[in-house]
Amino acid sequence: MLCAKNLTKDHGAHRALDDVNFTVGPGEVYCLLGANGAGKSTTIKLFLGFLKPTSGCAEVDGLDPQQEPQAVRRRLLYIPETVALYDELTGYENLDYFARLAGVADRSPARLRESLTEAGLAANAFNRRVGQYSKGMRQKVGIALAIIKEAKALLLDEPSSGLDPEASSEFHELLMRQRDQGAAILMATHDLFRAREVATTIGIMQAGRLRRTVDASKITANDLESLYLEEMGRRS
Amino acid sequence: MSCFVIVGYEARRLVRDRALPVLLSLLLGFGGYAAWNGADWVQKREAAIALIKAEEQERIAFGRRFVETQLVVPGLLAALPPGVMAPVSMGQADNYPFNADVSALGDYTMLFERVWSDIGSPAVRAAGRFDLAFVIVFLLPLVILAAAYDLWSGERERGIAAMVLSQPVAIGPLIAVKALTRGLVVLFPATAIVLAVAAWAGAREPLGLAALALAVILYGAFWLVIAVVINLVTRRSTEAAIAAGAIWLLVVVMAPSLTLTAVDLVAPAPSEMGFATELKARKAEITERQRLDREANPAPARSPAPTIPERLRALYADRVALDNEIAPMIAAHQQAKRARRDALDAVRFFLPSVAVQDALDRIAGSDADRALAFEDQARAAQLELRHLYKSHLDRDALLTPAEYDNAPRFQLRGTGGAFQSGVLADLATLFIANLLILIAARCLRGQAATP
Repeated sequence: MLCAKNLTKDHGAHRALDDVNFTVGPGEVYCLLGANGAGKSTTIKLFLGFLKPTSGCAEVDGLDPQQEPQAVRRRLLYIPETVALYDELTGYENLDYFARLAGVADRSPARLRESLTEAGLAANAFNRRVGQYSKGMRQKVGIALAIIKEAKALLLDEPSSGLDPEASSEFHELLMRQRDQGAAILMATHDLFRAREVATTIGIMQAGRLRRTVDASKITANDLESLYLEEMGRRS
Repeated sequence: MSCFVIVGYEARRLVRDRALPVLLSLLLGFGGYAAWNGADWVQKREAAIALIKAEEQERIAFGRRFVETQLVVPGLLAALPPGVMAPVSMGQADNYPFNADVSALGDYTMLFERVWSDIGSPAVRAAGRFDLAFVIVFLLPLVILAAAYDLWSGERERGIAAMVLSQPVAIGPLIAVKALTRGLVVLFPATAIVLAVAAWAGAREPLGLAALALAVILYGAFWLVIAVVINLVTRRSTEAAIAAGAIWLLVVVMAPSLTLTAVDLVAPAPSEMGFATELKARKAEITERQRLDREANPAPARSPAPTIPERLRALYADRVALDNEIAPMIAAHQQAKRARRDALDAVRFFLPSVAVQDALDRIAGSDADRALAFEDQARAAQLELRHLYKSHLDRDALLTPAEYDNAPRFQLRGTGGAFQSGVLADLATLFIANLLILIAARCLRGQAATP
């Protein structure tokens, strides 16, 4: 579903991403670990078509985001660190608006409410303005959009950063549900333990390069931490 | 996705934002005060004209007493009445005379009297009037920019743009629809406010109101398109606000002043004081020469004595001769003034703020062209009186009471309507400016395609 082929991106003289290769199939979760500036967000932006690769390509369902941005975005859902919504609109209205932007066919009020409920948003929050929402509630609206959009791939850029442990746990449960329904998930995160828990594959990035790829099911949390620190140049 | 959906949600957001009612209330407050100011100005000018007309009637009645004994041609006190849409703009009205003392043997150069009595303070003349045109030219752009300056840059700053752009939407139409929504939610109520306060102040001519609405919409659209361009190239609300403020300052305040300075360099305004002094000296010289000539060559006594005394013929001949001699001086002075006015007139085609001010002045009837047309018509009226006087001198016949009563009276002839060619040219200028900026926006739209 998601495929990075020799993906390289230069920002002027600085190489932000250097010959990155990986694939994420349906029902798989690929976690990108790395320090700030390692190239995780750049990778996601290349899949979204927000950036143009210097060389190589990022494909979504075999489509190039630069050539067919609309078709690619129909298949994707992007959840950034904080799901930015319109503060003047309610959660329900925001979901309706973005569902319409996404071209979702079934946008009946019942379906919208069902998606919000499925995403874990309390019913009494549906008609409250998003300006009064917590970060976790905003993330849930983002997940509701993924549900109603039936996105084939989710691109998550540090989605649980800043969430309290309960909200973070709840969020990852929702993600797992999306994975189980066949979505391919690419997630950039700093949270090693959560990554090991939810990922199928973990990629460790440093200075724009994908240094190591590990099978999450075959590594313990402690080993992952050691490996990560080793790659970062700091042995524990 | 349907444009109506975006319009609906955008409108909902704007309406829920507290800034919009505040902005529109401010516009209503300032517009109402400006319209009241305009109505007050019209009332004062009409009162001044009523006094002038009363004086004219007194003069005519006084002159009629002597009709059977002397050659009397009724003098006229011509006045330029405010236009039907006058409360909208006082425009150039304070810069040109609005009454003329027209008499057959009157001094051509003293035809127009400048009456400043209706200007409360000299500072008003320096700073300009606070009229509805001021509100439209200066304040309306601020209302539009305040509502639209961050229509996309704000979403970029808050991260919403990334959410929006990760959906299958085309950025060009999306921003166009957002801007159109601002047009619907801000510009149309603003136009309605302007029309309502104008009508309340007495400017109620349907065609005038239609022209006013068009001018406001086109000028508002210009600022809306400017806001779109700003949003295409900025990524932060503060950047957009600074850019919007700078463009407002440049287009509305600085460019007209700088252009005026440039026009003064290219076609300097002739000195009125210098001209008046020179003219006075020339007239004194001619009058003295005529006096000496009359003393040296007195007119031969006619027998039998004519009904109209010879001294009146001499007076008429001297007046005509004097006017003929100073005519080239006046023509040269007017030519210099016209060259400057032509240059100023052309400037408006490059500055939307000047174009809309000109359109509003013309719609209100306070434009320079109407004032100059009045001057031309007053001069023509004086010539007409002179011809009448001359014909009676030639026939040596006094005016009969009936001829006196039926002597020409001044009536201002049509000086264009709300959709006169000048207004159409101004509206076309605004339309073309919008079109050019839209083309620029189209070229820049790619810059908005990233969050």
